[in-house]
Amino acid sequence: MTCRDARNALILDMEDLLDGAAKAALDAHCAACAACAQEGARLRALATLLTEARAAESGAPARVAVAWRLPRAPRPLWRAAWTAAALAVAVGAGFGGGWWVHASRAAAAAPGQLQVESIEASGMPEIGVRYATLQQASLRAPVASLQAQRLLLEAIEHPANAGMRLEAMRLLAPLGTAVADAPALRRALIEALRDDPNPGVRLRALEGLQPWVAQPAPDPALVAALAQAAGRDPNPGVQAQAVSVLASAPGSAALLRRLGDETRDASVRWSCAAALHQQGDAIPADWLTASAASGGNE
Amino acid sequence: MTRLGLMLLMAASLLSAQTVRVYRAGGDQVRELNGGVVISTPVRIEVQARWASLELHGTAGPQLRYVLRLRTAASPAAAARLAAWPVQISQHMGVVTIVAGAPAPSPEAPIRATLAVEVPPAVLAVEARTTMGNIVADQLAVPLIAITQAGNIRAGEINANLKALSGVGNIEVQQARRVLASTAGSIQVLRADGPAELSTTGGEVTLRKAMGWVRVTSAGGGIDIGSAQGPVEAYSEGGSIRLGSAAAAAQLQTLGGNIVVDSAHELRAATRSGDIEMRHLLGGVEAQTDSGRIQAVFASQARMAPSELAAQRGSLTVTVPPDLGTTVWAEIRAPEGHQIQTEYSGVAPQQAPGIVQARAVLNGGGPNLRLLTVGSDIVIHKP
Amino acid sequence: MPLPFPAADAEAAAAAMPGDEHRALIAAAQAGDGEAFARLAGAHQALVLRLSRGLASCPDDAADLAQETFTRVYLALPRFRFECAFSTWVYRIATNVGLDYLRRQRARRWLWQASAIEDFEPADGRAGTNPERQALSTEIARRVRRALSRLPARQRLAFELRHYQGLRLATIAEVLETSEEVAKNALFRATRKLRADLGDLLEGGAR
Repeated sequence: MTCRDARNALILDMEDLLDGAAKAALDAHCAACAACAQEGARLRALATLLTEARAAESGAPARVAVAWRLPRAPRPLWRAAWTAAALAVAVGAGFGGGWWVHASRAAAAAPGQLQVESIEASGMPEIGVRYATLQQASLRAPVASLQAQRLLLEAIEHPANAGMRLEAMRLLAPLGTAVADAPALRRALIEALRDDPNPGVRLRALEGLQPWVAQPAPDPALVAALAQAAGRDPNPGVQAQAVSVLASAPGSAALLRRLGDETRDASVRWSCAAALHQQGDAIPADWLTASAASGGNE
Repeated sequence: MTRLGLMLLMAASLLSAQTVRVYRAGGDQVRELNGGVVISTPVRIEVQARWASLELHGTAGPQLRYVLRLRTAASPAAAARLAAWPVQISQHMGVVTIVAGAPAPSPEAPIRATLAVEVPPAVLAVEARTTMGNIVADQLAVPLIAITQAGNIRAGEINANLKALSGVGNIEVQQARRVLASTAGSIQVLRADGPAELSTTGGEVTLRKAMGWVRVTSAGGGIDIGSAQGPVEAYSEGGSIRLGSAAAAAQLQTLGGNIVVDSAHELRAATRSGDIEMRHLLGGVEAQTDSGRIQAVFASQARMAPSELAAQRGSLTVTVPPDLGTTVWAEIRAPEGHQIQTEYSGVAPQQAPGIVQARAVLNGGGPNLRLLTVGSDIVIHKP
Repeated sequence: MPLPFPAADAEAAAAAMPGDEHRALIAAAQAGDGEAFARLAGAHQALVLRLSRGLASCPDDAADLAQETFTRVYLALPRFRFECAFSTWVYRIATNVGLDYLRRQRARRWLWQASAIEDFEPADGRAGTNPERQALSTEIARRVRRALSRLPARQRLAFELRHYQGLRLATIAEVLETSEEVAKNALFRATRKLRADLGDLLEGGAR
C-alpha cells in the first residue's frame, strides 16, 4: 500500500467504511510509516472534534426548544405554499391544527384598539409614531408626553414586530417609575421577560424593570419573576443580567444565596457569587468547593 | 526538586523585599503588602488571584512593584484574618509570577482584596487571572490577557493586543490594538486599532471604532457598531443591530430586532422580526425581513450591483438617485389594498391573481434591483 | 402552543416495540388514526430534529425544517408501502427537505452560517462555567459549522447521516436514493474536505 492509498484509506477508516482486508493493510502500513500513523491520529482527532463541537452546541433535547417557542408569523414568500397546504391538512386532521391556526390568528389584526406601525426616534426628544385605529394616524410628540407614552406602551404590549417592541422599551426605560401608566408598563415588561422568545427583548425588559427593583419594598411578584428568569431563562446572558438586577433589590443577599444554592447551573452560581462579592456579602463556602471542582481557572 | 519547590526557593529570595502596613480607614481594617523586584531582562508576567481584584498599570521605572490591599470590617479577629493572606512572587524561565494567596474562605468575614501591579517597560506580556475579582488595566504597552470568572474587566489605554475573557461579567475597553472579548455580559469597546472580535452569550455589544475587520456575535442583546475600517459580521439572536459605517462588506443578521445602517458599501442584512433602514448605500445590498418594513436610500455615485430587498408585513421604500442606472423588478404578493408607487415615469404595474408586478428600467438601466413584499406597498422615490 | 408531539421517551418505546406492533401503528396512521400518527411522529421526532439541527443555520430554521418534514410525512404516509424501514423513509423525507433548504441557502447566498451560540435550554455545566473554555469551544464550534456549510449539499447530508446519525452505508444509500458506491464517494469527499478545512485545529491535539 502506498502512502497515497493509505491517506485515502485513513479517510474512509475515520468513518468506519473500510472492510476487513483493507483495514488490515492500512494498519500494517501505519505500523511501518510514522507519517501516515500521525495522519491517522489527526483524523481521529478530527472525528472527536466534530462530535464534540456538535455536542457543545446542543444542550438538552432540541424538542424542548421547539416546544417552548410561541407561535410565530406565517413563513416567508417561498414557503407560503407549504403554509397553506399544512394549514389545510392540519386543521382537517385535527392534530397540530391548533398550532397553525393560532399562528395565522396572530398574524391578523392585533388585539386592542390600535396598532402601532412604526416608531421613529432620530429627532429626540421628539419621536414619531405611526399607528392605525379605524384609520391610519400619526403622532409627533415629545417622548415624555402622555399620548406618546400610551402609544409606546401599546407597542410593547402588542408589537408588530420584535424591533418595535425593542425600540418602544428603549424609549420608555429612561422614564422609569415616573411613566404615565406605571403598573401597566411593569406588567408588560414582566410578561415580556417571561414569554418573549427573543432574548434581546428579555434583556431590555430586565433593563426596564430595574427602577422598580431598586425601590425600598419591591413587589414580590416582580422579584419572583426575576428569580425565575435568573434560574430558568435559556439564555445565559439573560440569566446573568437577571441576577445582576436582582442584586440591586434591597435585602437581596438572602435571595441570591438561595438562588445560588438551588441552581444546578454553575454559571448562574457564579453570577450570584459575583453579585454577593461585589456587595461585600459573604459567599457560602460550599459554593466555592463545588465551583472549584467544576473548573475554575487555577 | 519539584516545580513548586523551585518556585518557593526563588520566592524566598524575592519575598525578603516585602513590607507590611496596617491601618484603619473608615471603620475598616486595612493591611497592605508591598513589594517590588527589578526587571532587567525581558520577562512575561502572570498575575493570579482567587478572590482579589487585579489592577495593572504601566510604569516608566524598572521596578515591578505590587501592592496587595486587604480590607475588612474592623474587629479583634480582623488582623489575624488579614495576616493569613500572602503574596508570593517568583521567577522561573522568563516568567515572573505573582500570586495573591488566600486562606480557606470564611463566609462570616468577607474581605475585599485588590492586588495592584505596576508593569515596567521590560515586560513582554501580561496575563492576569482572577476567579472572583475584577480586572482593571490601564496605560499598558504590552499584550494583555485578562481572564476572570465572576468579575468585570475594564481596560483603559492598552497600546497592544488585548484578550479579555469573563465568565459572567461586563467588559469595557477604552482603547487597545487588536481586541478579543468574550463574556456573558455586555461588551463595550471604544476603539480598536486593529480587528475586533467580540462575543457574548447575552448582553449588548457596543463598538465605537475599529481599524480592522469586525466580528460580533451576541446570543441575545443589541449590537451597535460605530465605524469599521474592514469587513463587518454581526449576528445576534435577539436585539437590534446598528452600524454606522463600514469601509468594506457588511453582513448583519438578527433573529429579532431592527437593523439600521448609516452607510455601507456591500451589505447583507436580515432580520426575522423588525425593520431595516439603510440610509446611504454605496453598493449592492441584500436585505430581508420576515415582519417589518425596509427603507433603502441609494447614494449618488453608488457602485450598483445586483440587489434584493424583501419585506413582509411592512412596506418597502427605496430611493434611487438619478445617476444610478438599475433595472427594477418589483413584486407584491397578496396585493389587496397595496400598490407599487413611483415618481419615475414609465412604470406600468401588471396585475395577476394574487400578485402585482412591475419592471422598470431606471436611469438607463443597470444591475437588477429586486423588490419583493407580501401584503405591503412598494414605493420607489427620487431623492 | 407547543407542537403536538408526545414526550421523547416515545422514541425509546417505539424502539422497544416489536416489528408487527410497529407495522400496526403505521397502518393505523395510514387509515387516518390521528393518535397513531402522533405516536409514530413522537417515535421519530428526535432523529428528525437532530438532522434538522445539523443542517440549519439557526434554531428557528431547525424548527421549520422539522415541521416541514413531519408535514410531508403526514401527506405522503398513504404512499408508504413498507418497501424499506419506516425510519429510513422518514430520513429520506428529512433529507429531501434538508437538500431543498441547503440549495435555497446557496441560491440566496446570504444566510451566513452563524456561530454556534445557542439559546436552547442549556445542559448542566455548560462551557460558560469557564470563560477560557467557553471562548475556545464557541470558536471551534463556529469553525466546524463553517466547514460543514462549505460542503456541497449531498456531501453534507451524507456526512451528517453517517457521522452524526450513525446510519449504515446501505441505509445512507437508500436515504439518498443512490448506490452504496456513490454514497461512499460522497462521504469520502466530505471527510477529505473537512480534514483540509479544519487541519490547523488538529495539530497538537484538538483540545
